[in-house]
Amino acid sequence: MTWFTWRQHRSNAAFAGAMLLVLGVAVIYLSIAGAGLLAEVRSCTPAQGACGAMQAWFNSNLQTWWGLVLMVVVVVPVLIGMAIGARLIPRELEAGTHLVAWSQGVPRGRWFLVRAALLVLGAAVAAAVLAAIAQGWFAMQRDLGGNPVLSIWGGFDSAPPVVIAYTLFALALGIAAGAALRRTQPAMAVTLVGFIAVRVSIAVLARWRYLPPVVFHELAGGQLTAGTPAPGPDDWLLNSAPPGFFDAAGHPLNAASVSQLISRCTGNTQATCPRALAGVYSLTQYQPASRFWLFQGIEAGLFVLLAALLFALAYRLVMRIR
Amino acid sequence: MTAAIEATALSKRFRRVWALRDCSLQVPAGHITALVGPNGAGKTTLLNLAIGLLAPSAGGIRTLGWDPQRQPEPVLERVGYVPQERPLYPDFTVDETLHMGRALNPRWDEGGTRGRLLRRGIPLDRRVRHLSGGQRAQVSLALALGKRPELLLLDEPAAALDPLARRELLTELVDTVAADGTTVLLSSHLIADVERVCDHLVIISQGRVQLAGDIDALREEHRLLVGPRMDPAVAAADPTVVSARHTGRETALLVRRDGASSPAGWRSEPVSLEELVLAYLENPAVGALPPPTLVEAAS
Repeated sequence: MTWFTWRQHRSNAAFAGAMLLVLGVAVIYLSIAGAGLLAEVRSCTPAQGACGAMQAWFNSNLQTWWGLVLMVVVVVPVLIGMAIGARLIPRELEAGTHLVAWSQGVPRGRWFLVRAALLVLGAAVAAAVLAAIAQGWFAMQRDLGGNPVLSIWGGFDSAPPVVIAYTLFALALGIAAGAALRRTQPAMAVTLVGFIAVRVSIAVLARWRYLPPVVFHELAGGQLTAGTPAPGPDDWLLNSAPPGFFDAAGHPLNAASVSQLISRCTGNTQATCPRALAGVYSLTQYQPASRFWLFQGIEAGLFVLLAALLFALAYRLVMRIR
Repeated sequence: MTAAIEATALSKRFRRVWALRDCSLQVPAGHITALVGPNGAGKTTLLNLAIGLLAPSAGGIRTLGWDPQRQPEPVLERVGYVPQERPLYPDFTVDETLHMGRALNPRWDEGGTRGRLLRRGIPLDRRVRHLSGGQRAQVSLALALGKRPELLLLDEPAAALDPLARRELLTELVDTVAADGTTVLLSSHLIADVERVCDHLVIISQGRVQLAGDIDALREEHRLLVGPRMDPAVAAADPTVVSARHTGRETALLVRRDGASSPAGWRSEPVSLEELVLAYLENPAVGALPPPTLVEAAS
């Protein structure tokens, strides 16, 4: 069964290996080239004029490359789901070769389990290598420093735990869709749409709620409330729960009142401003950097659980093709 | 007679269409049985049920004594199947196809299978997609025979083969059965092939078994009676009449009358297998079946 599985998927494996090699070599080359450039950028002081322009150029170029790497990491799982998962069952049914595969001495249930297990293994290894490459690239950029866009949370979607979990989910979704629909193209379409829907809705709606965010109050006067620390550069400021202004009684202030307050304070007469702002505070919610790996674990666990359910469904569907 | 396949009130429905309905039949062990019937009669469905690729909608089937759904392993290890279009993995070489057979079947006969293909001049290093139709059929058959099957299921084994390849394939079949005592169930449209290699016959039509038995015995039981023209309604009402042909003066009846002498004024002739099969296929309502044996209920 191992040989049989390998023989049918070795071209997938070769293609994935070649792509990873290309990406890995590119990243290593860029890292080396980038490190050389970095030394120049750092030694160039002061950071204004020509040096500032050089730094800006350097950072924007790095960001372009990082965007490309991130895109590859985000897209690869669903490609695996479509190209390998969704085709697994339909390509046998469409060619009639299921009559060969399922009439040999290895019963269909074992055929499916061994094949699924080996595909899970292969996809997980590929995803892990891909994520490791991306993570290396990301770490290099963070080392360069001075780039506030790249907080640790900026690498959430390309960290190994979730990339592996997304890939297994996409694979399971593809196999289940193929077993349910029995035709390649609809199965691929369902895999694509289903993956994007689940992946985006979890990233947008669920991720920031895995743990209650840390709430940071800041009094307009500048004094901080005791206890919670102010968000640092590596903390994840939650846009989903935007910072807001509240009056002393805790009622949210609308945009008009906020701008009114600001106008009363501009051209600041020491007398009116503090009084107008008395008790007004702003509220910021964030997920601290220390929760990064916990959140990775939660999100990866969620997708692995979904993958397991889909594999169980696919098994039942395959056994029911009778 | 021990049965390699025993179906009891076997039925299979695809959505709303019954592909098989209340089929009860026995395929005797150690014989070559032909499964004959028009397209869509349920022949392929029956073969797929026998190896467990399909599950019955009602009724039961036992293959070599096992239930192919509940005990797939012993059935799959011992039953060779050559499906209709002879599907194989087109990007596998012949060698890799044999590797697959060896990897998946515990009773695999490597030497015999290679020898069989080499004797027929099939290049083992060639990809299946580059083989001719006849070579493909040989590889498909070799894959099934490599299991050292106790039962061989062949769906239209001779279809799309040239006469020479057909003869070779059928010769090979007969030799194998003679050497190993393998039971064969093959579906075919070609009565001449059936006549040459098969000793048992099952006629299946519209999802039902019309006739089953030893070919020689069936031919003895059936006679062609030719006599003066009779009322077609009378002929149609006679349960022993399989088919009737009326011309201006004469009536020809193909009847199943075991041992009965022909009536006065009628000429009795033996029937060919082709006449017999066609008579049943033309009259799908005629069923000549013993009542189903209730094997499942008794056990």
